[in-house]
Amino acid sequence: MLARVAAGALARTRQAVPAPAWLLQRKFSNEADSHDDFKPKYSGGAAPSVEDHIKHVVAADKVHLFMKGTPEAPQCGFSRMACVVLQAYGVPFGATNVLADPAMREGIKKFTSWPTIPQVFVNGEFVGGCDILMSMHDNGELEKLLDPIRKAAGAK
Amino acid sequence: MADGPIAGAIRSKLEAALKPAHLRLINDSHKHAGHYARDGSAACEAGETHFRLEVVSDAFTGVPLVKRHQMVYGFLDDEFKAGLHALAITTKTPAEAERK
Repeated sequence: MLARVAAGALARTRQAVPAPAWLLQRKFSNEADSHDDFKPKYSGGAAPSVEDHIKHVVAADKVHLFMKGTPEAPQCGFSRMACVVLQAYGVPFGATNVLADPAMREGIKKFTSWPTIPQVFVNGEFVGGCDILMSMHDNGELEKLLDPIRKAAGAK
Repeated sequence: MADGPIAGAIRSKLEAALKPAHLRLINDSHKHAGHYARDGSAACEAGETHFRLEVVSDAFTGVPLVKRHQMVYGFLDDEFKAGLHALAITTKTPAEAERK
């Protein structure tokens, strides 16, 4: 508390002077000493951290959707459609909002060689986008794919 | 409506690569004009951001759906870089097209 008051006083007296380097260093932690949540986020290009994150979430969720917005508030008609289909099949699914992170938005496109969002993963494998989901719904493949997952989720 | 530069490129590239028995390209960009932020790209300025595509080609025979779409996306890398934003794709082999 005392230190904060002192720092405040110091800041006031230094208003016109740029902050010294040691003060800036205290504000921005580097990667080595930082918790995962606070590490600097990479923008542009598929940094290893984005790829690792994608691998992690598609392995953790039986069904995972990379979408624009959230299942509660989709920001794009195609993403909305993907959510509606998955919800209609009654399978629980995780979702990543790519609009929240530009690095993720580019990273997922590189990861799958797929230029558009949404993108659906089932059992850790890339299934496709909205059109493929609809085609699989039409030809019955989606039921075959999701039925065991729905049963497993219901049994829990 | 005459094709713009993006539609023209999509058509000619897919015709050359897939020799489709049927190819239909519909520009849906006007339907998305409200929600899609103007990004200043060539495709955006020309109103060529969202398309629907139907292709029937022998090249899809024995190829799973994901791979078919990845084939199509692969040919259109330049167009996506130029600002093409969404492409709703239906891919069929001639045999599949006949069944419907």
